[in-house]
Amino acid sequence: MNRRDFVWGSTAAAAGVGLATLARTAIGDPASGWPGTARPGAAVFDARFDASRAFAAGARRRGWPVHAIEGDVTALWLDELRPRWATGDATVVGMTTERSLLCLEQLAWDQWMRVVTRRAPRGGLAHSLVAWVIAPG
Amino acid sequence: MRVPPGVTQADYAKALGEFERIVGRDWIFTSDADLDLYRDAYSPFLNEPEELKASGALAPDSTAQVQEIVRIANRYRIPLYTISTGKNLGYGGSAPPYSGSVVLDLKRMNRILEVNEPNAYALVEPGVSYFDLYRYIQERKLKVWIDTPDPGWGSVVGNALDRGGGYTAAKYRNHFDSHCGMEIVLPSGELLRTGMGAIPNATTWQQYKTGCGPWLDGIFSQSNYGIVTKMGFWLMPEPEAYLRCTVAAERFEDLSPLVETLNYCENSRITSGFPDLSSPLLGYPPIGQVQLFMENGPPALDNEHRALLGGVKLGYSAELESYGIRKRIPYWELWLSFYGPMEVVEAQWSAAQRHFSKIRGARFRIVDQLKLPIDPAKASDYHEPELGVPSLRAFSIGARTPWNPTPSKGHMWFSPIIPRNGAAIIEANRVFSEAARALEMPLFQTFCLPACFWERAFVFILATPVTEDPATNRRYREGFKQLIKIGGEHGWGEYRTAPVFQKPVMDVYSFGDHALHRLHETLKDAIDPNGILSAGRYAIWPKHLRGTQR
Repeated sequence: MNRRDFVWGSTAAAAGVGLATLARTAIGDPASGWPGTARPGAAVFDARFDASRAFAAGARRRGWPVHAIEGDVTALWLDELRPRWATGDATVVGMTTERSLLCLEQLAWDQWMRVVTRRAPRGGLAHSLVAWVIAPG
Repeated sequence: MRVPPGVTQADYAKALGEFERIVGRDWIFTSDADLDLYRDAYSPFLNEPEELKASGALAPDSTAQVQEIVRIANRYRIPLYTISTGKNLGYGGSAPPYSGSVVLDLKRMNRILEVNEPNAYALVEPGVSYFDLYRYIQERKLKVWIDTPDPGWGSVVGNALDRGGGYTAAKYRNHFDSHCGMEIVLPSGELLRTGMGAIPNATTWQQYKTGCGPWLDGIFSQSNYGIVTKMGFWLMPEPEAYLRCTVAAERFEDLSPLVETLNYCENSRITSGFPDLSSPLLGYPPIGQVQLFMENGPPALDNEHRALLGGVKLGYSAELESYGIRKRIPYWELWLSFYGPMEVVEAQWSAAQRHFSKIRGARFRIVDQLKLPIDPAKASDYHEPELGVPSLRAFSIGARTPWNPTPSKGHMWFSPIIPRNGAAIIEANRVFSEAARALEMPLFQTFCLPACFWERAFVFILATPVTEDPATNRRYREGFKQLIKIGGEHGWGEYRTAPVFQKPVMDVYSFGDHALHRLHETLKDAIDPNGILSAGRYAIWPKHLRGTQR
């Protein structure tokens, strides 16, 4: 894979902007403000948490492929992300715990992908959720 | 642009130009954003000025490129720090002990060169992870198993070189012991093969370990004498069956005979799977169940049990013991596992029960009895690493939950080796709990049980948290160093540790006025006179840095 395929101003940057919007409105209706042309390869959410489920609902409304985890990223990574990342495909967005993101960030770097955006949703959540974008880097 | 210490900007620029000629511009990393990815995600110096960081990184994809890089590094005296996949979280991750070194990232060297099913071995490059090797074997339906640590995202080579361990049969779960043959790039750029690999066109490189003459493999583990670019491993033939059982003992005093009998059974090969000590009465789960414990919460205790736990001293309470006998909650529960043909594992379990029956009141239970292979989708019903399946579920440990409301930002593993007997478990708890209390360290706050990765010794592997508060992290670092020293005073040393603690740990190994350390330095001066490889790893500094860094 050519590490330099990534160019700022394409999907990842747009995804980052849109993600910021989603993260801010994660509690409630998250759809507004997303650049219509950007479509990540996957949207990941943690089914244990309301805010993350709301994030996923917004993603579904956008027609993004949505994948649920419950903390453990093994199956998601093996079945979905690793094959995509190995070909340089797929910006991935998500709202998960910091620990799940730590795992994904480390695994993403093995494929020369990186976390390009990370944001904590507002709202005093009981769990340390973070909204993020992983893209080629 | 960051520049490595001891190197001029002009020389670094020239070196980078030469590195680029070797690996290509895409595989040289100098921006802050790139280098942040080589920080230790669990650094105990999180966001402090002393945090160990790289000044650059290179990612070669072949042994020949590594040789060229090493020659260039020698020319310009560029300090390199080698990582395989950099996943050694809890023991330093990918950050170099000599801050400012250039990381030599071997992730792209991820070829599985051979998996030989009839002779049950594999030969791999350092960028191969346990997941990679597992998938390779599964895709080809080969009848061999890997032995994986938990989590399984790390490098097969890297974990073995740091002398890590896993969860299946004894012969395989000591990862360095199960290796056979290495290829190494020496600091001069020369290429060396050990064992039978030193014969050109060798036909037994992964079958016979020691070759002839001095066997050097050990000096390339936990060291900085060379860059391992290939390593062979013995694999377990896929067993026909797996049996997981428990031996429950009612009384506190049963700990010693339980451990003695375990030692006999392991050393006699009656059992070879990963033994796992637990205490249902004290609420100490076996390692294989910790994930479930953290995902689902600890088992509910009745009020009487909870109250009695408050009266425990050094793991013991007569009232708690009586309660346990009355309620049939064991004081100790030893998990045993067996691999092999069903008729053999059943016979082994029968023999094990006969030996453990000498403990009055011992009770026996079969937990799992599986014909293998199982459907891989069902592996998550068990502790996957004990079935040779890599997993990332270990990261649920430490996640924020109602029973763990303030998870840490990471952890540092405290890993002393202690003797394999019951008295040593109690003594180590006494010594470390007293010390931890005095140092206000969050370790040994309850009675702790060691892990049984190694057949002939116990190891405690306990997490000291990394927090968001630098003052707390500083206190924990200093306390950790004190615990290392106190352990040394009792004859206990760490088996592995993060760079920040490598000097205090190696200081404990002081027999003969630090004869071991002096020999390490003698070897370093001979093998790496310019001191370019992984300076400071396990406190082995090159000559030119001993005055300032040691």
